[in-house]
Amino acid sequence: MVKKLLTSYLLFLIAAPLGLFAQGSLSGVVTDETTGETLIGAYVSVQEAERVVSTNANGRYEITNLAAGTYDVQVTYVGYKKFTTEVTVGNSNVTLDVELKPDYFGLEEVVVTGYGSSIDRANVTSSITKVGAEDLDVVTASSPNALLQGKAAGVNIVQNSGTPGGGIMVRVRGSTSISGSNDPLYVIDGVPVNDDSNAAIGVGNQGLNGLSTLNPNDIESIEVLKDASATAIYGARGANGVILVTTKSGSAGKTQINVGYTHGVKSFSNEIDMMDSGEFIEMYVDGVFADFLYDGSNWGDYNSRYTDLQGFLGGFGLTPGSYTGISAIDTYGSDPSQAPTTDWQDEVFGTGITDEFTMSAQGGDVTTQYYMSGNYFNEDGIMENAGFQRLSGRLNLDHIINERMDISTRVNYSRSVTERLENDNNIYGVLTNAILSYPTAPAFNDDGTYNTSGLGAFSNPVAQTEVKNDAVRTRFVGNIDFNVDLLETLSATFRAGFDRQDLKEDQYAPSFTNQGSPAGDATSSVGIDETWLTEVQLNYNQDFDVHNINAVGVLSYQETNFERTVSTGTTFPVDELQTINSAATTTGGAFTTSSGLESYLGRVNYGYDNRYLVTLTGRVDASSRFGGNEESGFFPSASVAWRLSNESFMEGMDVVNDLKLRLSYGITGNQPGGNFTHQGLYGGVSYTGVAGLRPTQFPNPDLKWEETTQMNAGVDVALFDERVVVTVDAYMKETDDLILARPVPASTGFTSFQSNIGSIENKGLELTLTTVNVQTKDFLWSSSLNIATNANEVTSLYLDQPFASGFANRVAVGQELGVFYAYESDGIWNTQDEIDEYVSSVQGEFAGLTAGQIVGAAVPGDVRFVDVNGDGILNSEDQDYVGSAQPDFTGGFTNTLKFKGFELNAFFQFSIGNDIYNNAQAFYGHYAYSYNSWAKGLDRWSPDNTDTNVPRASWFDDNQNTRDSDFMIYDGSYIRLKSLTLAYNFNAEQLEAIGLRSLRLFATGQNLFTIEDYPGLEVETNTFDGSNISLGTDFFSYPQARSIAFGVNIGL
Amino acid sequence: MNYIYKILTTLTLAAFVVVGCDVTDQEPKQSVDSGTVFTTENGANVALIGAYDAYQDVLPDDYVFTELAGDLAAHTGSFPSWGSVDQHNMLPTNAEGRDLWIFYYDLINITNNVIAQVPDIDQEGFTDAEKAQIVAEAKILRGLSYHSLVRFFGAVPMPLTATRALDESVFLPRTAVADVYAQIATDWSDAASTLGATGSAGAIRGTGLTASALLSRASLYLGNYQDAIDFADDVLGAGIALGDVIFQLPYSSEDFNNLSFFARPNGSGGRYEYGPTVDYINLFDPADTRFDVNLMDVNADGTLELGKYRLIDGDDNVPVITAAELHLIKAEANLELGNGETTVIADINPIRTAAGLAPLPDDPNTANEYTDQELLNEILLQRALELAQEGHRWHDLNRVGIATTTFGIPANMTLWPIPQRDMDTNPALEGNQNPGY
Repeated sequence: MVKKLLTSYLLFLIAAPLGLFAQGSLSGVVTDETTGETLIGAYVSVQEAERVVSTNANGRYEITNLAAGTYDVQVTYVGYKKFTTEVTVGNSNVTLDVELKPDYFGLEEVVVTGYGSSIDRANVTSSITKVGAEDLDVVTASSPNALLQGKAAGVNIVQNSGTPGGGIMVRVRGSTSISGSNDPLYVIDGVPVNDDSNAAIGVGNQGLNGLSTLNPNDIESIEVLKDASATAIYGARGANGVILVTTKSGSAGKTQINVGYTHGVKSFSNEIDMMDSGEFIEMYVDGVFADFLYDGSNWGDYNSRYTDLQGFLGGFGLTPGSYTGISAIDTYGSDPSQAPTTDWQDEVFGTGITDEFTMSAQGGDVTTQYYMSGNYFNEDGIMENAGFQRLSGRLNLDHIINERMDISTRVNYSRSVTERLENDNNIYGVLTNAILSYPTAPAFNDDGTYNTSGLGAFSNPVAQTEVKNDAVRTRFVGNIDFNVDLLETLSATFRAGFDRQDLKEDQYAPSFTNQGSPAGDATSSVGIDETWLTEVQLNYNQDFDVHNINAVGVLSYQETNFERTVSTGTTFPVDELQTINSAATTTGGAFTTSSGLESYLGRVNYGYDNRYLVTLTGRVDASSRFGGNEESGFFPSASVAWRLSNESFMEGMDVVNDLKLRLSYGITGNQPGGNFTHQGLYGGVSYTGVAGLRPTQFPNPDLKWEETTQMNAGVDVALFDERVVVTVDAYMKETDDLILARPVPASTGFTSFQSNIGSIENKGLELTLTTVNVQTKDFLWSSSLNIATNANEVTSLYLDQPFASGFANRVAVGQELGVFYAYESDGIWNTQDEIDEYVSSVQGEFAGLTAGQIVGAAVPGDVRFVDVNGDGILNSEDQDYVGSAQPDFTGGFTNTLKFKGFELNAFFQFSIGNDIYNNAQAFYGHYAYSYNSWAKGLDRWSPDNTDTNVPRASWFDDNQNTRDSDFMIYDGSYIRLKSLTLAYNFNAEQLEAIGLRSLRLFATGQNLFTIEDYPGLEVETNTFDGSNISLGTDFFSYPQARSIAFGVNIGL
Repeated sequence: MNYIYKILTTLTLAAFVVVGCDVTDQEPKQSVDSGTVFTTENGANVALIGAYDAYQDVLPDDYVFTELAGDLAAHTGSFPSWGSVDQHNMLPTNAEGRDLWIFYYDLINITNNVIAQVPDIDQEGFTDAEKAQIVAEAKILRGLSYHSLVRFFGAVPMPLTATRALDESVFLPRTAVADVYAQIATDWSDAASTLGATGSAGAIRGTGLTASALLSRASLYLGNYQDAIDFADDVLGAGIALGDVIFQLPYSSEDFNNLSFFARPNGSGGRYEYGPTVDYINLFDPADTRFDVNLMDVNADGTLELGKYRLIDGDDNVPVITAAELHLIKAEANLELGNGETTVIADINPIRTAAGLAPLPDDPNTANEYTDQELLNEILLQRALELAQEGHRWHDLNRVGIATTTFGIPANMTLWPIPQRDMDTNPALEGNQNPGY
């Protein structure tokens, strides 16, 4: 829109001599209708005279040398409704003061729809959620996808772990894929970018957030394309939704400089209550005593159990300490309360610091506008040696060459460093060890070195934080757009884009850590990921009578090349020398892969009288990832909208300001996730230095994209002077030809086969409700609620065979992705009588069954697993679907209160109805086996404490109490105060006094509280980062921090 | 002015199309298409090397879990799946059983490809004898795979042709144990007759002597005791001495195994996932030099670790079959045949003396100085001491039928469960899980 204005300004300059005869002028002040504040930089245009000016620091404008006559005058300002009026100018000055109405919900703003196009929100026919800078600014986050959490209906975002710069899961309208990507396509200023982690060095399950290289402060808006009508233009990559990121651009006028600084402190206060050393020792004595000596009547007191156990084990030349490998039992067994305790979680959790400094400048003249920015972001995590730093710079430049041609560029370069910790499913995980390590071992030796003994299978978690895992990512994302007007109604755009990321990872495990013992262990990896894109686009725009046609056609080529070199070294002379050169033994390897996409696409928007709107799109994609028999796919879509509010019969209905019905249908795709997955492959191996080949993959020339057919119906309503705006969407997505590395019998020599088999269905409802609750001169209260529900169901699989995933997840027809398949439990067996009664009752029904078949090895204090199928026998066929990681509802709720300069913003984010499988409980909930246990175990069953629901201590655990069961499944619902911000914006008077354009002071708290009922470490958790089918498992992931930050934004 | 935009437009369009037009034409760079492998002599050779590499992947795991399931080693670490192997309460979802299954069938499919495709390669100078050699080595490895599977799982699906399609045709039911053994014997007999009495001590590829030695092992399991003795004699008479390894897999720090890693204590480069049982430590006579071979205490803290594989960079070679095993096979076979204690002891004493122990007294004038049970116990003891951590103990206990009493487990637990993943994916296995799972 700005560009349009500028173009007309340019035309005016060329035509300037014509104005010599003009005599009159127009002037006035532009103010906010509700607050009366003057508006600086509002555009006032006089259409017929092709004149545009902007208001000055006092909100004043003046247009001189106007020939006498009648003019259409238009006043526009971002965030306000357009004002138009007719003015007659004579030979003198005409005063026109304008009061602009706030456009609370951006009904008049434009929405970006991809391929250089934008459209007035009122004319959008598909389901697109726009999140503007003003909504993004209230949350501080290290990456743009983290910013979106809770902001857009139907976009479910889970921070898989709290690792600074760590991975994030984004799902637009549910999961449509099992083994392909479920991530949306990210397009930054027209360039589809890679959001992959690319990390080569594993630190458990978590990867890196590929988008954390982008400075969120540069973002003007994020559009989430949700239905097929919106995403089909992205064809074989559109099925998971598309997220369009538009960065800020400059505007003509005086240079504006913005400077911001934020300083924050973060901490963690939700540690799991673990046993202290005395409780721990007693538990082991109980457990081993129960296994070897307990006969149903000889439990005695603790001291007698300990003495009996000593005597029994002594007969084998053993002690309780040597048998369990916990020598502290021998030292303190006779008086456990004397044993000193190390609180490992206290040792590894600390206070983190966040600092962010941002500066930007924007301005220019009518032919050239610029936006440039620099950003420094530093986050020290709540665990020692975890952190994230980013330095980034951007230059966005727009230039009008002449009346036919203009050119623009968007360039971003950044360097980010992620310091990661080993965590999750990882014996070297810091958190794993901080929770499971024996409390009886000290963190440090007397001489200050790390203690490594007395820890059993575990590592000293404090030492483990010294393992260096640095990932340095330098990234360039840039594009050049060259526009040429070929005809009045036809223009061409040439777009060249480039995205390069260099990821250098260095890991060094020092000699004093288990991971690096005995003499240091290093891995170094360099990965280069390059994507280039060239596009030729034709734009056609024609208005006649009540018809409006707008069309684009695009030819697009994109290629991605990836290469990686990895080297490892072991045995270093000293820990100070950490480069692989210094290692006694080194190995190395290199890897390269590539993919390409050739596409033809088009879109036609047709509008009739601003009442009936139609959009048709189509795209043909040919991908190197498709098998030889399926070279290209066609992805069409259509949508219609009816703006009822523009019908004559709606005239006079003052309550309804806007009413639009939308309907769309279309087909999108999801291309195979990996390169060359359709080929039969043999890979290189070595045996005793001789090179060999081994089959790595079975061929499938029929491999193609996953195909999603989506239907969407939506309503957009604005009521009561636009103080209530509602958007409701209902959709149905059916995904067929699911790409599945489907498990095959391993007896074939292969474990999986990439093939298009299976279907998934997603059905959902989304509601966005924004309201201005109170509006007076000084006070504004507005609310925004978005809530979405999505029902996911796997509707077919290969021969409908279910398969397992993760720890307890299972993929099965008729079930959601992310269901948990495990044993059901019914408390514990409290007494032997209870067991005997049950056994005899089953034997009454099924004669001949043994007690072992009926209850397994259960004794009192063991978990009572349920014979689900009712055949009397307890075995693996009694497993059942006992929970699901899919939430019933997700969303966000924001309230903003403004009083004079003060502004209070509270943003809640929620997920309701999802379950968590706490796999960590299989470890800390196995009382007396190689780990420390949580304090819940203090209430464990014993002959002295039979009225409980906590299983007994047992080293052997013959009943397998810790098998996958609903004993470890919890409700994962939560409502979290994601952010609470209090800000003060200085008003024009105050600013004038201090000579600034704007000044804002704020304090913001993140994750201040969470309403939840989950006993594990962190309710927002997802240990299998990025997996589509292993959802909702908690297994020692880095938790979210609570933070408080203070900041200032200054405008010069 | 007008022509400038025309030139720019045309040039940009031309450049973009030229740059982009073959963008979907991509080829993998570290893999080759499967169709190109079995077309040359080199292809045949590298495919066979691939089979050895696959065997290299699985053998250390096989030995770990055979030992852990036996009574000489116990779980000391944090993997619950290892604990289940040790405590004989495996579930069909146990990851270790599943992985052994996967690894062995991977190797079987590789060997099936070699055996089926190599004879058909038509290349000048690639002789029938060379092809037969490659096929014979593949058959040795296929037999080893099936022998491990049949001992762990009992009757198993037995594909003998390479996988050509992943459809219903791959749903194979379980093949009876006797038929699996018959196939193992056929593979090894074929290999022995193709390769003749080839091979020398320390071989790192399957040889004729390897095949004969393995036939001796299979014969013992099948109760064909005379065959066991004859095959062993064939090998021992061909220049193989008592301390020799007949076939082993070499490892290096670049191509390493995890055997030492899992046994070494934390802080000494390992993760101490398993260790010797007290019973095992107590089996050693103080004079037995094998104590220091099989056990070690790397940081001298009094806690002994398994020590047969001790190089922390994973460089230890791993024996597949040794001359000592052949002597002990002979001793057991002679005992079973009732050939008299002198014959039996003749194969035990060289092993005892080599280990620094006194030979068992054997007065030639006195018959039955030892009961059969005493002799069997001595054979099992020597196997435990001599062949420890070489993939025998659990199978030995089962072969002589004492696993149930040793561990107090029901008979059905002597077979591992068929992995759940194959129960789920192979309808031909439905309802045919091993009993008790």
